[in-house]
Amino acid sequence: MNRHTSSAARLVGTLLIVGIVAVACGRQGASQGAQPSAPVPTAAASAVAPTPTPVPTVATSDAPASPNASDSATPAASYSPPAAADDPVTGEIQSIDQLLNGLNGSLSGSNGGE
Amino acid sequence: MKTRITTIFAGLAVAALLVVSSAAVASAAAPVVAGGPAGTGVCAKESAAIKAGVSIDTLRAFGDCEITRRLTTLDAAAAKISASKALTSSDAAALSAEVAWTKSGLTALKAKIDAETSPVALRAEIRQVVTDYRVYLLVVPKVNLVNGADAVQVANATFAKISTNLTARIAAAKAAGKDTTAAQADLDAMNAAATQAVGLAAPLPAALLPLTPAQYNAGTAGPVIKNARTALVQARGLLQSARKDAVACRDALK
Repeated sequence: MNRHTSSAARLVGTLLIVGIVAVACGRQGASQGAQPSAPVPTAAASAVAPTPTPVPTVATSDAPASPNASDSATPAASYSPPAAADDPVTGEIQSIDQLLNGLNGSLSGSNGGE
Repeated sequence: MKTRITTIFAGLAVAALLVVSSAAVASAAAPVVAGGPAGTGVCAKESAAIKAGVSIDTLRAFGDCEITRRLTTLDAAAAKISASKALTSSDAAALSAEVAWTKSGLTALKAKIDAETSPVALRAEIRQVVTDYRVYLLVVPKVNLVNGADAVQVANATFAKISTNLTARIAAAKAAGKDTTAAQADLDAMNAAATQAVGLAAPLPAALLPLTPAQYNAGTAGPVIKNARTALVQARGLLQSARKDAVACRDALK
């Protein structure tokens, strides 16, 4: 009888310990879950970090630093596109936009119910 | 937990912004009804009066209202023709003449209706408001579609300027040792789309301008107008595509 009582007490004790551990783990998990943003900056930082790297890569590929020395000597007339504000193509594209708006108006006219 | 709540609130705020902005876009994109007061609702009161009791007065009031709303629409069409930067002078002249002729005819018909004493003759004259002029099914679509077709021609001229500019830019970039393959492909696509758009739009004024109310009544003008609208919608799509190609070409050369 005493054996039964003591084993029952042990079982209850074990369950209590398991319960306390489970609650403690749950809280810790919740406090970790409250920081889901932590990996985001890490990911963002890793995404941002490489961006400076390609810039010099592009710059070096633009500059004819190839082993072919004659290539680098060829472009005597260097190419420089006009600045966005002064670009006549941009102005002409804006004219196209206006024409397209007018065309939309012409196509959306109602028949007015004859 | 706090972060989750913040995320949920941020999500709700973005959703609310999207709802508000989409409503604004929807209202901004609402089609403009060209040509002034349109729809049979304008003369609904006069129409209801006829149903309540046919008399010379109710018939005349209805006829006058239908003519007045057409005259208002024609004034708006005339203003559109005058303000158009796309219409060629000959197309503008032809459309202006048609609008003026229609206004003159309707004004004369109104005088006839106002002086009419026979209910039978009055009914026939009211029918003529529609069948002799076809303001909404023929005149207004002609103004809109011819204006649109001429706008495609103007757009093509602008694309030609863009093409000249970008061609020179490609040549300069190529001379400087830059790879211009993508830019050249974009330019070729732009030129092809603009040419195709003009091919669709160019024949439209000649097909539309001679159409008469009698041809509409006979059923021959309606399909021409429908086909012209379809061609113009296709031409618009091609111009939009050409515009994208122009931007891509310009950006590829930066």
